[in-house]
Amino acid sequence: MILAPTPRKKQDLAGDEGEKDIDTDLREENIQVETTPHEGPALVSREHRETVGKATVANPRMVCRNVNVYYGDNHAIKDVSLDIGRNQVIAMIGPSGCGKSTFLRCLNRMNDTIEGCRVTGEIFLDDVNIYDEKVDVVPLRAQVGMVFQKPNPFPKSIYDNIAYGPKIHGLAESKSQLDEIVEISLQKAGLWNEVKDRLDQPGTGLSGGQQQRVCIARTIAVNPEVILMDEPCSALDPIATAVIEDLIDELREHYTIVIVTHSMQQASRVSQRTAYFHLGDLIEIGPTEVIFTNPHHELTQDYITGRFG
Amino acid sequence: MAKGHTVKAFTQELGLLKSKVLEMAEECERQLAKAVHSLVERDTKLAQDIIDGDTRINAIQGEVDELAIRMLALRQPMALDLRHIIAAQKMAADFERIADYAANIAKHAIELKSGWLNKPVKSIVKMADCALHMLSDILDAYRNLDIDKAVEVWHRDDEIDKAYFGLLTKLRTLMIEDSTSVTASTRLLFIGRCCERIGDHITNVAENVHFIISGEMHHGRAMG
Repeated sequence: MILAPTPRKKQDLAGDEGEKDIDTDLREENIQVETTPHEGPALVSREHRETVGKATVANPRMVCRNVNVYYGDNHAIKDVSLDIGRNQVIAMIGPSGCGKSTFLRCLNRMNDTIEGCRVTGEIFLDDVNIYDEKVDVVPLRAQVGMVFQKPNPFPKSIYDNIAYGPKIHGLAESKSQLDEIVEISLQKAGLWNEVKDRLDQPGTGLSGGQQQRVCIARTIAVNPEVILMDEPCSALDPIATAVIEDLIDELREHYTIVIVTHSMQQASRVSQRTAYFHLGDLIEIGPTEVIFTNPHHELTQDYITGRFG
Repeated sequence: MAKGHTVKAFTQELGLLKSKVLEMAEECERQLAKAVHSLVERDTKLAQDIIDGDTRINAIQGEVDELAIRMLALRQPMALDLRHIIAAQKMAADFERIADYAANIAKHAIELKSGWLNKPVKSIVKMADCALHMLSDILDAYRNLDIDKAVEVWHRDDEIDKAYFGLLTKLRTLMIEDSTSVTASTRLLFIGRCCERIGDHITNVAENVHFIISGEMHHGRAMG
């Protein structure tokens, strides 16, 4: 007896009313099984923009529901719902302009600073809606820290770069406590041994990879729960990149990490879950190994296999 | 439908890889068909051709390996492309083994000088025919990425296994009845065993075709 292949995993957004088994529907309706050489399996068609894959996780650190972002008339993020898992690295990939960085910046309200930017929907950090009027963005941005593409240490000493945040947030009661925070932060960022003898020298005098680790240490120093990284290695050489990637893997033990990257190899190396964005839609989300070996949406497959445009 | 790669050379390399695997498989089909022919017709010259021809298939497998490794290193393939390359390499290994068994059949056919054992040879021809049909169908399934056909071929290995057990029974009876048939019978036993193993390798190929299409590994578990 000939049986059909095992059905693909269905869309699973817990609590989403009217949840539809998109995959099965598509199979029955208009997806054709391609039979010409080099064609893949029947995938969810390019025209469909609902999220494929499991957007929820058990015990999430952050929960995003129906997030929309508008820059004036431009609808930059379209109804995205996604959980960010605890002590996990989630990678966001997609072509330029797909909204991955915009979505990342929603997670600590960095978009608030952009003129004409409007965010709707809900984003919870441990049960608190960060878009609630009562939420103060200053402690929020300590809880949800950010590391940028270009290393941007303050034009101050290495020590002051790390100590600045704890000082303004009142995390240290004494000089010795501050010293301790600086040391621990630099150790966690894997930089302590390289800079311990020159803490008074300017942070800007370090190599690019070291500067980026200063920025990571600076983020860690204010006790974040989540670290957002926007292309943290794109200005670094392969060795410095490998050091940062190794660091990301270690940081996962204590923090939740969201990384935006243009390098699919980087996404596949550092993350446990991968989200693929396309023109403002969250197209597919799943375990990284599934996204890179067996994606379920045509748009995801096109992108990760290098079939652009 | 899947589009071509932005880097067109990658699409071309994938096409080349697939055509090499298909070339290898078609050569296997010819070798097996000729091996059975050499057995039935007692054609030792043809049998020797088959034994000599095995090097061609080994050479193509070398090319498949080389191309696959080069593509893995230089193209960093993902998803469908990755599955195509991994499966091509594994299938090439199975086809290489199938060709070895065809050559073994030919070797035993040459040695099978005495004793015309009509009944068991018929069983062997039946097994080999079944294997040839499976081979031809699994090639179609690979060519067209037809998952239903791959699953169907996978299940057909049962027929070969049944025929093999039938052959064993016949040969046992023969050897008990006529001790002079032992030498020839054991040769036929080896030949039958070759056909049975060929069936197993074809199921491996079917699993790989299934893997390319579905992304799911089977490893001998019932497919369906």
